Amino acid sequence: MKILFQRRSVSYSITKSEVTRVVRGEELDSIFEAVFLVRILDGHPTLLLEPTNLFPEINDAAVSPWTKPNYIFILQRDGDAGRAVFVDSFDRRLVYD
Amino acid sequence: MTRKKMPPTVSFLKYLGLLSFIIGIVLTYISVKSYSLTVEYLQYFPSWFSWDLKPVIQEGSIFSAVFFAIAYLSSSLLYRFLPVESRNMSDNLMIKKIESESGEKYKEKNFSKNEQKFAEIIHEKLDSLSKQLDGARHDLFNLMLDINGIHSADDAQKSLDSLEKSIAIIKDLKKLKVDGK
Repeated sequence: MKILFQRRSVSYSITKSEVTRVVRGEELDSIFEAVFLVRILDGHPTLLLEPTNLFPEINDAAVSPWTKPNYIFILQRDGDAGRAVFVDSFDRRLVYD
Repeated sequence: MTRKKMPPTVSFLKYLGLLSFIIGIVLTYISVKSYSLTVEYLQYFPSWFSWDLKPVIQEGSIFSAVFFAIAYLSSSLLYRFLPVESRNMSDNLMIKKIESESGEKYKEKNFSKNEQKFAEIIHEKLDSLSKQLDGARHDLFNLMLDINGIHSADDAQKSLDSLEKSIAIIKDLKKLKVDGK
């Protein structure tokens, strides 16, 4: 099952099992435009990334200017540092593969 | 309970109706009595006064009818000029503010004011309901993503709390009344 989400005018899909938690953007302080940010989430260091960093095949020209994200998807931990991606909006109805 | 000053038209019609009714009763009494006691009745009045009263006594029934008609018209007009809010629709005594404006204008203004107040309350409640439902949906989605996670119990509890608050807001909306409506 997949979750459909949008970030900076680009639509993405991610496997449900990859996402462990959705956090609202306003719950995190000082989010600004950077290649990546590191924040402590649930007591673990977490890299906050733009989805374009996870999907390098996306053309930069298609991406709209940076905006503060409304949501953050915290992804499955893979190693010592966790990962999270910025999300503008997402569909809570899951899509079957 | 406060008693507000009535508009001049209403006061005038009220006193006109009352006065006409009393005069009508007096004239009826005089006209009935005048057939048998005209002479005795007139002796109680001074000469200058009895001269003016003679036609009244002679045509007493017509004048009484005229005054009763005036009283009836006054009361009808009085009811028409009274604003809707000042009429007692229930068993309890209800006196409300009557402004010195025309009836239609007053009703229009009062209605729009109540409607605006009602709309504000409804908007506040709906915003609150929307926030609560969004919160419940968010927590439930997190629970669905990781049902055995460290936050699962908290998410479930928060989602239920939000749903209960939503139900409370819906009950408040059902109970909501403005001016008894």
